[in-house]
Amino acid sequence: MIDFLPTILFVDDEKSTLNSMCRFLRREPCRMLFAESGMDALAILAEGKVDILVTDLRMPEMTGLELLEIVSNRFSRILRLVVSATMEKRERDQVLEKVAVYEFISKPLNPEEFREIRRMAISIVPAGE
Amino acid sequence: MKNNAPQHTAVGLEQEIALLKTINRNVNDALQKAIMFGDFNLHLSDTKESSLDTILDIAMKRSAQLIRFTDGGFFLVDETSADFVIKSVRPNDARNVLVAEVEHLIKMKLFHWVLKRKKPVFFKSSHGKKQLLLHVLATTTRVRGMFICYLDEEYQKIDDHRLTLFSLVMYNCANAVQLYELHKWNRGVTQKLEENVQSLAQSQGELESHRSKLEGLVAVRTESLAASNIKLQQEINERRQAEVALAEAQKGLEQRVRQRTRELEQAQSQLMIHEKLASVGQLATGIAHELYNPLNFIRTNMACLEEYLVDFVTILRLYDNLAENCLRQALLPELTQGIASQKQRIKYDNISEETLKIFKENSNGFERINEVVNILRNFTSAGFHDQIDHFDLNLAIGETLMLSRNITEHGITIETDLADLPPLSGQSVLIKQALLNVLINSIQAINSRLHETEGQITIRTFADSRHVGCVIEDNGPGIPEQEQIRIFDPFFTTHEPGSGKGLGLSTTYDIIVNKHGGKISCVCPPQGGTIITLLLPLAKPPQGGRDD
Repeated sequence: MIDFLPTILFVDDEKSTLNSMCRFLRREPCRMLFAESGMDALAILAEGKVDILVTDLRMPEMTGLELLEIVSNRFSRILRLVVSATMEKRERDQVLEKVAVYEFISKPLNPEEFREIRRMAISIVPAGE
Repeated sequence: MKNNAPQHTAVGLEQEIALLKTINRNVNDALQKAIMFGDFNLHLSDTKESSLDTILDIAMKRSAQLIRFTDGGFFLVDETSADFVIKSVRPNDARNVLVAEVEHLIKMKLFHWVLKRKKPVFFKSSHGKKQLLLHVLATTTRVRGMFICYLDEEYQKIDDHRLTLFSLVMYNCANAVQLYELHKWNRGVTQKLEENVQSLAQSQGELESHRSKLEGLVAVRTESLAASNIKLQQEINERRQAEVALAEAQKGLEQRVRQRTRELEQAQSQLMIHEKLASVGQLATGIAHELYNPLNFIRTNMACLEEYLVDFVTILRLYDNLAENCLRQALLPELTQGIASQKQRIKYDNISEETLKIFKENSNGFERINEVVNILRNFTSAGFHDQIDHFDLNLAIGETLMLSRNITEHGITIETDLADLPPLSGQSVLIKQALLNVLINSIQAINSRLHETEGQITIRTFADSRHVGCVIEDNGPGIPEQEQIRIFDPFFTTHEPGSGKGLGLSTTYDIIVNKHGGKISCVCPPQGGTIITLLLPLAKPPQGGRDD
């Protein structure tokens, strides 16, 4: 049991955001992976070790939504979370029309809220694949 | 004597009776003769030239019945020349003789004398062999002529009653002639008159026909004039109507042009506002997004730092314990003294306290930055999608106040008194814009007056079973009464277009009343200030009420 640690993949084109998240989750019982683009993320996902995907929506080249669509098709068991600065209802609806998302987290992160979500997300990841 | 007397008397009476009878008979005869001789049996109506001859002929015959004469004739006064003209002569060859006799008498200056005697006059003829009888033809008033003849008997044997009858014949003849002349003259006059009358009648007839012609012409002209007059009147009326219609149309057109111009100006200013807001919105959204990322990691890092710090402090406490133990046991005195002096220098005791305060304050700062960036993004960009959402009016007011903070000048205090409100359904972005417009209006009103007192705006919210309401009150100068009804008029503005004096309350009216089925009212109390009340229905607005 102790051996099992869920793996979270963070995707954001902003390196500092990734760093801050890494620090924020430093002591959580999880493994963290980071990708600065959708393509990088897909490469990591291909290795098949990711349990939770946390992605930004507005990114150059591949958008968060496009990434989410691929993930929901190819890696449907991965828990999907969205972190975005554009948390308009309309945009949220656009996402939800196409893919199922566990939770939306709006930027800038409210640390307390994020902690809560982080805990929840980790706890529901099925232990032992 | 006495016996004889009656006998004698009887005989005398018989004789006297016989005499009287004779006389009576004679008188009767004379009267009958007189009547006979006097009667000329004239018909005055028949006054031809021949009738004069008839008169003279009768006179001649009657005279001949009374007196025996050989040559006889009449000299009549010519009415035109006043000469004596011989007229009727018997026998015809006696003319010259008789003229000669008259000329002789005139020569003898006897003629005139004869004329004055209205009786038969006897003369010896000019040659002295015959006896002349002359008798003037005179009426009571004038001399008409003279009868002259040679007697064929002794003038002494002509008795008086024959002469009297002869005079009667002459007198009657003169009267008849006069009558004839008068009648002739009268006839002439009458004829002339008749002629005149006839010519008059003729000319009158001509005049009449001329007049009737003229009348006809006039009638025709009048008729055509009347017709053209009617036509003209009609044309005038039509033209007048057309003019009136034109004027009305022009008026209507002008009004419509004015209204349309106002609408266009309104639409243009709305468009400009929208464009401004849209571009501001795009910019703000861009800025917001750009801010979010650094803000995000700064904030996350701060959270991490806080966690680190807690860890540090935990470790530090352990070190503190260590240092105290060393100090108590006089171990490593240099080190412990160094620590102590350093602690004193940096005021170690309240560092941890201060550090926590820093995080708290920073967190507060992040909240505020976050709020501003959120408003920037929501206020401007989201409003153009007619998005219906559920919102809290209090929050909308809060965000509006946040945004209007920079336009609220010094000296204006804004107070809020917000009640718990049920959520409203509508376009929150538009509601915020409406609130902002009212707020800007109040701020302008306060700024427009002299700074006698501090400007104050009070915002109060309330709710009843059907409405959520908001009262915005300022202590500005108020709005003149005649303008109060019009301030929400979609086309009313007290500012020049494009003068930059706010967005106007018409937009607010449009948003509250038209787009959300709400109500808006404006009250200006006599002591000054303006109270604007917005009421929003709790039921879904009639427009754009699609399900969420």
